[in-house]
Amino acid sequence: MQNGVANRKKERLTQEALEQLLQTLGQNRDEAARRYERLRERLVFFFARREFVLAESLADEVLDRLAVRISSGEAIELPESYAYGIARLVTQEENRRSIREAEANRHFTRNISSVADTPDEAEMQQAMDACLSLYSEDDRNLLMGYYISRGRALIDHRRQLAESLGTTPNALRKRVFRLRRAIESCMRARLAHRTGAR
Amino acid sequence: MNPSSHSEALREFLLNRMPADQVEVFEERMIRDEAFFSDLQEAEDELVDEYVLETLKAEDARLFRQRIDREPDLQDRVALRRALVRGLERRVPEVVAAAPPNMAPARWRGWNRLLIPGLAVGIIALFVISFQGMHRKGAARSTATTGAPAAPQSSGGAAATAVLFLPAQLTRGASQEQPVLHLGGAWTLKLELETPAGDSSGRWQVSIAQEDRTVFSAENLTPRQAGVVSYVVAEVPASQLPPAEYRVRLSPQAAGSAQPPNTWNLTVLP
Repeated sequence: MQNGVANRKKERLTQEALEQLLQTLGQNRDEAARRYERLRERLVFFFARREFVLAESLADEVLDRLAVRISSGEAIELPESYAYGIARLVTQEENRRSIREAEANRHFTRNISSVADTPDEAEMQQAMDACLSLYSEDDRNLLMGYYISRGRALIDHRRQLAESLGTTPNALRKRVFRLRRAIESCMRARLAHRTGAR
Repeated sequence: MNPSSHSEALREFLLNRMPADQVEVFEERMIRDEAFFSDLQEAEDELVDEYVLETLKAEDARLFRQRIDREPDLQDRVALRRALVRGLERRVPEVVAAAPPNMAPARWRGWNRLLIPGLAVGIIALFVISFQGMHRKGAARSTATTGAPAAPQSSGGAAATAVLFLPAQLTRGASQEQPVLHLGGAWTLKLELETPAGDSSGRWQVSIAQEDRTVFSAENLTPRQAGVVSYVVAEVPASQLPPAEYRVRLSPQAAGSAQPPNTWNLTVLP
């Protein structure tokens, strides 16, 4: 299957256009970069929910078009809202393209990762062990305590854990959420390098 | 919108049960409002958790399963969560066997009484006692004089050095997860920062800033190699990282280098 995003007539993103986009997002370079990354993350989520396999490419397409608009002199006060409008347009374009491709090729299949790319259980546990070891004993104990129970006891035990920490169940949930995301992000990075090393 | 209905609305959206006209409003807000998107991410992560632990209602599980079947990223997240939960379950017998040696005998007997009705309850008690112990140590440190840190105390297992590996961004705009760290009794944070695209040449410099103030910097760092991963190491005194949000920056030492810096947001928890 040809990559429609790559073959489509693509507006050229210059370094200057990217710089202007970053300046629109913030005067402080670090803050602008952070805002760019967060906007990209939201766009990826937007496209992934629509089951577009190339969600990251489509998010980049939206940001490229936004940068070109800004560099062409268009005054954009709310870049995130403007990006949403572009995302809806890209969605329509991508839906039309998919329909055309599906009609042209009746054996159309999704480009899902092949089985060979999927890490096995041992590799997942190795990555988990390595990443968990990077965190403090308190963090490891917190996670083990959070997941120790099952079924009806789960909620009560988590409430007890929150009380023991002098916090609320909601605050505990948020803390565990941040910890989980960091560890799983570490696992993804390690598993990705495993793939690169093969 | 009260918190309960806000949570319910997020769940309806994530389970594709929201009416189409409301979906558009939700999506527009999600792109425009960063805080709203953070709430959405948390809510979706809770769904992943409940799905893996099989605590979702049958209809919710069925709807979420439909999304998982169609979204590769969700499949990956479910797989990672399963691996994390299984890995934590594997470690539980180690926690039971390695009870802190500095627990007073009377409290140990009390812990054993809790263990008899059920292993899970006993382990919860162990975590409770462990955390209470850490809280007392934390309180003692907070009353020490400012400036020079208090003398190290026997912690029954707290590491002197905490280690944190921060991977480089893998694509041009890869989503950047925000690492979270609790230093506990550690005296030093050993930061291992992956260089961009496995660059193992030249020298690097690291800086850590809180808002506009630089709290730590190190220069002329030589990359180390671990398999395909190239990284630099910076040892940061824990006293320079009180609980706060920081910006960690890794950049080439050479002025005018075309290599852009790598930056991470790091949260140090109390």
